[in-house]
Amino acid sequence: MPPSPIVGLEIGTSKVVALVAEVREDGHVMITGIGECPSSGVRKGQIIDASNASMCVDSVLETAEKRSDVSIREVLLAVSGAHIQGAVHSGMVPVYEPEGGISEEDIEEVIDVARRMNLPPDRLVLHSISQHFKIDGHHRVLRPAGMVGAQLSHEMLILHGVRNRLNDAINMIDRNKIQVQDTAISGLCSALAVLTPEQKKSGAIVIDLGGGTTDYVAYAEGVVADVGVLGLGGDHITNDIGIAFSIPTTQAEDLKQEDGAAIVETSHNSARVSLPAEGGFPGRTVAVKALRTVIHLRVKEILETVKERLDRRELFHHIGAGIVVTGGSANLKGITTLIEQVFGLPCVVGTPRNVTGLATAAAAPEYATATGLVQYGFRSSKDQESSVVIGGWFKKVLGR
Amino acid sequence: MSTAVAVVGLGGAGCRIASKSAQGLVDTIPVIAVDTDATALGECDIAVKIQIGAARTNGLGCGGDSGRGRLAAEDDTTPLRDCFADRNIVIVVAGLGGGAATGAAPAILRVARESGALTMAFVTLPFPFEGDQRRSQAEHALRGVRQAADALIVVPNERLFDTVEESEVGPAFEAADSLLGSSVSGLVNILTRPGYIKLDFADLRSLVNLSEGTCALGHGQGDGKSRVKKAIESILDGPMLEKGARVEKAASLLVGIEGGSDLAVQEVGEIMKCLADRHREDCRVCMGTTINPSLRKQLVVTVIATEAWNIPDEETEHKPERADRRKGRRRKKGPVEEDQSTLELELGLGGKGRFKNVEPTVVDGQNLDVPTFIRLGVKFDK
Repeated sequence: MPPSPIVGLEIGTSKVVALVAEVREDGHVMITGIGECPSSGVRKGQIIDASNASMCVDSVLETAEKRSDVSIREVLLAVSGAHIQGAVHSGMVPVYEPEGGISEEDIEEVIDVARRMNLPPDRLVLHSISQHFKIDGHHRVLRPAGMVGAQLSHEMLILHGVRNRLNDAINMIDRNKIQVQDTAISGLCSALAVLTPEQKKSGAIVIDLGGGTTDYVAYAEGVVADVGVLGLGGDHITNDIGIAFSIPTTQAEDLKQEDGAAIVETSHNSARVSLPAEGGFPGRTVAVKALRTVIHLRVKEILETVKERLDRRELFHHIGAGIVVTGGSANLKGITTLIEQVFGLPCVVGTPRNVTGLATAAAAPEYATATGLVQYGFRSSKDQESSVVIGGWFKKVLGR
Repeated sequence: MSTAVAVVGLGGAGCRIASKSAQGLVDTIPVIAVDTDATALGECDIAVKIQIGAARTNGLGCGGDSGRGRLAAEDDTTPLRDCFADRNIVIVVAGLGGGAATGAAPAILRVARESGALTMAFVTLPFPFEGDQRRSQAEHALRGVRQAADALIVVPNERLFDTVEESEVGPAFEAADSLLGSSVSGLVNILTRPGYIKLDFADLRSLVNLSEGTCALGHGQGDGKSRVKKAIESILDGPMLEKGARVEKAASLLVGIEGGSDLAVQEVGEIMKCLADRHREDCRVCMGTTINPSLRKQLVVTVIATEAWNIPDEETEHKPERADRRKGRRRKKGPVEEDQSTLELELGLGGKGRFKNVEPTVVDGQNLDVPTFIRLGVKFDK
């Protein structure tokens, strides 16, 4: 029997994508159907117009169904938005039999304690990710079973979001027809799709420059050490361009994609691009240097904000494999150069790994989240119990 | 490490205030006049003068064009850098709203910061009658100043002129300049002079960190037997702190008391008690006293009260944002239709554009939905 297909749905700010995929035992994703449409009613990763957004979702799922020739019953949903936050929570237990070494029960207990973080009632835990263990306050230990000590402590990265915002997204899906199996944070999915095991092990940062949000994930020593979402993205770049040159959003978007770049080169000092007449606006020209200055300032600011957040967690000395940038704005010219300047670390554009299927287009950075989501779904279904594969995550299915 | 301060008077108003402050400062503290206008600089009685942007303005003023002011400062950073080289605090005094100071203040603060100094801005805002254009120019500059300054003291002009009793234009401005000048020198003295309870820039900065970035300043002097009463009255009843309302609302206060060698402990206690009667219970109070031998029988009290940041974001619909920022509450969405097919045209400066109807992205007190180039005040040839 072939493996049952997994469906990943991303309701992004710029586009809604559904991927129907089969995942092989080794994690290779074969896309059997894809549905996609430009998003409407979503800003900064959050639903602001439910009727428009759910129409998009319906049509996307329908297309995906047709193309893959399966009927979709369950989907995995990627969630994002600036309301998503991470915090490290630690738990500590006395070892039951200090002489006899740490037992599996001790480990289970300390994980349980570490996972129970007090959160305001309006917040919901999306993922709890094991960091490392400490025995009697020192040693960073990954597997403490059998080691001797009196006290075992454990740190857990708890990722949580505002319940209502999350339900807003879930409610976009017609419950009569389709169930939401699980939700995962977009940034985590992207990281899963683009990073190699070696990069995870030596420590890497994934920056997903999306349309409405910028998600970042830091891997240190093979474990997800920080996840965050900024309510800033490609839309902000477009908006800045629109305001700078007093042009409509659609033209600003075209200008960004065609002639935009994240760095300003002196060779463009006098170059100009022309804007066609559109919708009653006369044609005109725009200085390339000015355009790129506007983009550069915005992108640099976004990156600096990310850097500052990661700095606070003192993660940079764990990053050996540099930065992988993904998401739609990773297509911006000069983005890796700018990231290298801001972070002082090498940077590459990350495209989803281990993907084949109908859409070769799916191997572009803007599909990282959707592909990662499918991989996430595959792994979490495989390791309901043991959580070793994904660096020891425990996940919590969104209750409704 | 000793505290080495430099005071920079920027633009017409800034130079006048700085020259007044020089009278209350010891000679070791350099006071520097910076302007684009050669004539105005010539008339100013500050010894160290730096003319900026000579190539751009031909030694004239900026004509109210803040872009020119900024470029002028960026042209001539070298002499400024030299002045700031051995300083660890740089105080920039400026009247915002015009050309030179409005444009150059953020740039000069950045130069100071790059030279390794802590920066403080002491700025006035234009009168309401000076018109919307100057006001918005000043508010825009204030955002830039706030980014580049570790501490920011803002004095709206109308507060100032309620204080001054003179109504003739000449003496009234003279008196206002003196008041601001002595406030600046009072502040510098608190930060630099030896004292038994010492205040330093770190105190000031941690105070500012507790606020949203701006402070109001009250300055009072008294002499003779009832000097405590006089000083306190002029602070708490004067308009600089809005008759004490600023003290009542402040999240934290910094109180500097400067007196002659005859300053009594009881007097200090009395001043603090008068303030304690007015300020919030949870207000964080930081105080310091310094002895200034030249102040015989006199007493100078300087109060800095943190103030809410009330400069609107580039669009006027900013009010609910305050609450949003603190509580992360989502703003109610108006009955605005979201329709991508219509061209969303957002003209003019400062729009949050398509982010009008969503929760603003606020980081470190700044609304990042406003275009970066606007917040940084970057201009370019389109």
